[in-house]
Amino acid sequence: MRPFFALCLALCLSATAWANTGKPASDFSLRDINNVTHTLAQYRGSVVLINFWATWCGPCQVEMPHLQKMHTELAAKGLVVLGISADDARSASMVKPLVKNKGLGYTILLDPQTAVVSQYNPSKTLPMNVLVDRQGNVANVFSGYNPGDEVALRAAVDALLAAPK
Amino acid sequence: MSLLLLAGLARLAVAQDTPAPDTPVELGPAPPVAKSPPRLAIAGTQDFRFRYYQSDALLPDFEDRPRLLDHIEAVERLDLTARYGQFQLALRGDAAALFLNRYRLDGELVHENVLYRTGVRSPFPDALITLEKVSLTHRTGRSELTLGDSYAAFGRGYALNLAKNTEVDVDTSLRGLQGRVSVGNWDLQAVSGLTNPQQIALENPNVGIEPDRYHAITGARVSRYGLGPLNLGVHGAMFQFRHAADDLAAPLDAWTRPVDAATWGGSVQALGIGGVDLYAEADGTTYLTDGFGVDGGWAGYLSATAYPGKAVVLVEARRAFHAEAINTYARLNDYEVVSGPSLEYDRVITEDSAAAVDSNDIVGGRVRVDLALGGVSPDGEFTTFSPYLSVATFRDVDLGGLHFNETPETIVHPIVGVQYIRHEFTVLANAGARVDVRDGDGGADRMQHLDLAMEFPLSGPVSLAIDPTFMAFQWGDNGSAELQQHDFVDVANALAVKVGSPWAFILYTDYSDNPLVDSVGNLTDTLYAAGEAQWKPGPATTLKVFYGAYRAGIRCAGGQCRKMPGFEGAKLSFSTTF
Repeated sequence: MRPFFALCLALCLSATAWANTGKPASDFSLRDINNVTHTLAQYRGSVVLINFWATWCGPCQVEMPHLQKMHTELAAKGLVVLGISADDARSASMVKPLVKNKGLGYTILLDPQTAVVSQYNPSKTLPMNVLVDRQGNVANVFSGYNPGDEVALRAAVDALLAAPK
Repeated sequence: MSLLLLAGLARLAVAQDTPAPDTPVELGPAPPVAKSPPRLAIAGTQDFRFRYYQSDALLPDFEDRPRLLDHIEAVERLDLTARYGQFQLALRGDAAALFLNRYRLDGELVHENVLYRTGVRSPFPDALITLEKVSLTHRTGRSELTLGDSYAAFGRGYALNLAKNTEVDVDTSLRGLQGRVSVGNWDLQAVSGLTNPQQIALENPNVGIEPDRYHAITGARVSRYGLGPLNLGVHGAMFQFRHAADDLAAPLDAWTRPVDAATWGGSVQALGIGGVDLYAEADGTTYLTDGFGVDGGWAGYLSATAYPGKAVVLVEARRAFHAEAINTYARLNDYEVVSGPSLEYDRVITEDSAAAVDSNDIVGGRVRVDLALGGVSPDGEFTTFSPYLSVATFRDVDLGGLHFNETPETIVHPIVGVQYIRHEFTVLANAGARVDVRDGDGGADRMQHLDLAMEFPLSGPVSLAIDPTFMAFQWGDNGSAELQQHDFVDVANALAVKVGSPWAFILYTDYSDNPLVDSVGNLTDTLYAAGEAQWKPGPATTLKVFYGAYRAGIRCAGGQCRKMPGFEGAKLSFSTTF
């Protein structure tokens, strides 16, 4: 029993200690709800907030107005919000109606094959936000959402936008 | 530990690497991207679960020895991705171990809760370590080639739907080769691989793990975008199933077996024609070997969305005829290879409504109207106020599965709901009633349901969250004593006090008198209670401690439903993304 727990403890501690900064964000290519292709690389030079969500995820929808507010206020300063729907093929038709209903102005990408979800969010935690700096490096990861979490997210975004280019 | 060593060396390499030069590029459709030297980057997620299972059951003739069946389970999952330039290596390693799952009874060693069955290889009798997923991917801006585990879905899922589904522990990938390329307005996708379901469950008990049974799937899809307002797609897939549970020959043999079934189909999408978005898909299935009970099947799906004023109107229709009989062999391992839109509300799928979801002969539709009545207040705050009405109706003539009677049914299921979100105040509510009317004088099954998620601030950083769900089911005349079922009520409540972002304290209570629920409450036979404390020391790290019990029941995610066992005991979980 002891070796097993020792291994688990070592993994937990090493994972926690692993600073989540400075790692290049891997590129991806997805189509949005209007079938326009977007790659992460095309937004190099901007601060990119990648938000993983799904139509059946309640906390994701509670978080969305805060993302929309950030998009509205900070797009001109260089923030790009990319919402990646983790809905699979069978619920893909529900994505655009939800986006329209909520009046989301930021880009919503479809990932019915969960390819990018697997790439960035292998445990499929929803919602999950990955913040990418202007140099294309992952700066922060935020898992889950509780009301109030948007404060820390906004602070991290502001800090990246204020950082020297 | 060598994995950790490698990770540490890699981190050192990253730290000593030269940072990428600044690339001040303006936002635009295709700005120039400065080339930076490739760097090694390692990221991942780790999840640890520790579960202490309590059991009040007593062994026959040994009633004087309580707690013999208690045992401990530990599960560790580590997802790692290593990226270097355009290459990415992704690994998922799982480990599970059982403790206290054996005891001596009158001098004889007895094993309860055996971790894995014959055919699963492990040097340890009560522990298993597996490399569940492994893949190497090469990406360019327009192409992607993956060797190893990947996911694939065509259209709306009636021809192939293997997407990541970790929610109910049925995460099944295709282990083989997959390529995707975009050339102009063309998207091409081809895949061939062996199904690779997860063996070790993260959230569910790991007992009697079966060896992987590999099915071979090969398919392709071609999509053409921008044909005026139209986007077209055609796809096809062939399936070579391993039939017998004990037929565990070399995995690669799966590709040499006769083709059992083939699916093919096409889709048409038209965006913005007269303000309406349209999607239509038709798929056929040919069954080439025995075991499916039919020679062929087909499915059709149609959706139309309009956006008049503040409303969003979504109309969906589906027809399925033996299209999902293709899941016959995969369902033996709790997953599906094909899964189309069910148009049902996942949260209230019961044993009875599951029959319609998986029906082999069903036609139906759903209309949903959402109103967007929120907006932006003068202080710049967004308010979501969105009521909706949804009405689904189906005609189900398949009497197989858990149909519980021998009469075709007409199903009507209206649901109303609302979302209200402003500042820290949140209300998400859904309520509905479903009736399954049998042909003739067979009466009807009726269900009423309500689920609510409400959160509001109390004082300072303290907020209160209330999540009650209620479901009542009244069975009609099932037609025979053997098929007759009993009315039941299911109630689940979660009451959470949150202190800022880091802390949450939750009280769970469940009630169920559904005789189909295979669990017993810890307060009474039908009443369950539990408490949980959650701590988020960082934005991507969560620690949870749970004690108590919850009931068994069906849970659905991503179109796949699984009967989840109940639980009584203690849990500790630790998750972090790095």
